[in-house]
Amino acid sequence: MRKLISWLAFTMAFCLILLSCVHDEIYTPSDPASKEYHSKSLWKEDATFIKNVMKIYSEHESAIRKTDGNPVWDYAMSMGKYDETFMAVPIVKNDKVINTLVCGRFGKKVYFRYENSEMNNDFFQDIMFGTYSRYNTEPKENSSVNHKGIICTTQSVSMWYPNSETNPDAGGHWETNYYNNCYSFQDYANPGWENGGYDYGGSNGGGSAAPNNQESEDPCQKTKSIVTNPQVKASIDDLKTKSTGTLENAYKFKADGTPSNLIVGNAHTVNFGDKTGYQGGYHNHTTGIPMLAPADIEQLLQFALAQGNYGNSSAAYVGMVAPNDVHYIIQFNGNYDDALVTFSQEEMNNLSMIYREEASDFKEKLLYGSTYINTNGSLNKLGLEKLFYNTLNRMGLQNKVILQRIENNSIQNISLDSNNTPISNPCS
Amino acid sequence: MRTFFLKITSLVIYVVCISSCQAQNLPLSTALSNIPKNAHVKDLNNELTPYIGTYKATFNGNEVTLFISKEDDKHMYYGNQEFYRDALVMKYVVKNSTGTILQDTKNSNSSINLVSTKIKSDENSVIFIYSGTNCGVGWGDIYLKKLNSTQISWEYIPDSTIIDSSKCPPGSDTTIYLPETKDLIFTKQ
Repeated sequence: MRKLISWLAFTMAFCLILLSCVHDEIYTPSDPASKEYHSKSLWKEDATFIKNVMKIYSEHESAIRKTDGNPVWDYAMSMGKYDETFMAVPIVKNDKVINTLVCGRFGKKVYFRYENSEMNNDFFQDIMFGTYSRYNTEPKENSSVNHKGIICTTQSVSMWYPNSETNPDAGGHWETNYYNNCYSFQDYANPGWENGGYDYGGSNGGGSAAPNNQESEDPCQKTKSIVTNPQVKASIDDLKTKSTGTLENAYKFKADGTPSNLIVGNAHTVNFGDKTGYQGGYHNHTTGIPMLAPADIEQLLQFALAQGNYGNSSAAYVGMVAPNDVHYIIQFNGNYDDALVTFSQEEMNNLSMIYREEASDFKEKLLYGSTYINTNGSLNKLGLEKLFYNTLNRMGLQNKVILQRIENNSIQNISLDSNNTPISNPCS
Repeated sequence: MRTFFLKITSLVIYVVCISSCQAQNLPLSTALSNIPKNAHVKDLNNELTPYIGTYKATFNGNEVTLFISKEDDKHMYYGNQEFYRDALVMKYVVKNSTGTILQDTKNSNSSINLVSTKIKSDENSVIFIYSGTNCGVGWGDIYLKKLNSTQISWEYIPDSTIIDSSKCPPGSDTTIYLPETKDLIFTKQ
């Protein structure tokens, strides 16, 4: 009997130790006073921005603090943004989330705002203090930009609450919580947040890049973030496989890389369809000239317009993969008004015909020797890129579109030298 | 004497005027980028003529008939660039095995274009640019190689295109009826 009691006591003690370890790992917030940042978010966050905001907060705490709770930085979320522009952090008092504080960067300044949202409080409360045993994160949803320039982003998470902590598989229920943040691009043009204007000295703070103000970001970084996004990469790889088939296919991608369903076209044609909510798209070529043609450039304009009047038009892109590992991407390099260029069907026909005839000329040895062709007579990179830039020029879109070639996992920026000859420079 | 000089001067002015007003004739091999506005690109060696005629072939059960004619000084309008060029113009009729017409650009007011651009004399072939079927689907290059007085060899390389519902209404027939193949022999009728 004594042996049994000893064994039971030992088992209970062991379970308690184990439980407390797990609890510490998952639920215990860091010491609010701690200066260290160790993310406990369920998502990948913009650690650089969060750390910089922590520093600014500590320097101006007396001005920013509106409640007697403390921000728990380890649970801060950047909502899928990694360009040092946005984060939200829960404010906790006595193990209860009593508010959320958001911080946005506009150019070289950061601004703070308390959200006073019960829904957002509950979202963090459950993540930090819920007795869930497992969870599922849902893809972030972005609403389309409305006429007032407001876009709302929703992040949701579902948690499994077991009936018994010691036997989580014995039964329980799922609970889903939502965090919602509505972004007004008009705010960004003229930040009217309740607190701030503090100097930001992060990696983007000293430069001119200001994504929240819709200024262009580094094309290399932009493409890198697109093609290395696991979801986008998987879709591009799928299209590469399909480029050796007979049908043209496509994917559209949201800002966070979430792909549309595969768009299966017909022989040598595909239709992206409605672009609302999508930042860009990729398609495959199966035969013909492995370059983005006039119709593809026109699609880029439509993706730029789909970002909305107050959206980030320069985030738009269109990519193309073709047999023999050909991979090009074009980015829009202008604002909404720049993308309002339209082409009639007759103009598109003319552009297409001249594109074909020029490609045919480039392949003619009597005219250009071997300057623009490979040994098998097909257009080489120089020929393809020259063809693209001549087309861009005819469309009046010089400097509004950036061409990049992806080869061997490296990104090459293609530009024109003083003789209007395409040259490539690798992204570092 | 004075009258004599006046006559000579008038003659010189006349000759200069006539020669300058004469349209500029360029060979068919001229690169597009070197064709000035309103220039005339001519079939100086009469190399297009042998292709004129009606040709037939069967592909995947469909009967394809090509009607090739020559058009002198065809007006080429590429938006900012316009000129005149001697060209072959191809019309076609595609029928299925039961004789049903699948596509007919000869007897209809079709906007589908198939026009030659250059001759490749060394290869005995001519290059056509195809606007594609409806909505531009299948736009591409077609190469015709003259094998002998009655046979030509066909190669069609279509390109990819993204269509848009705003310009290509849903339900448009975007099937490519021309044979997407190489070395298809057409026989002159």
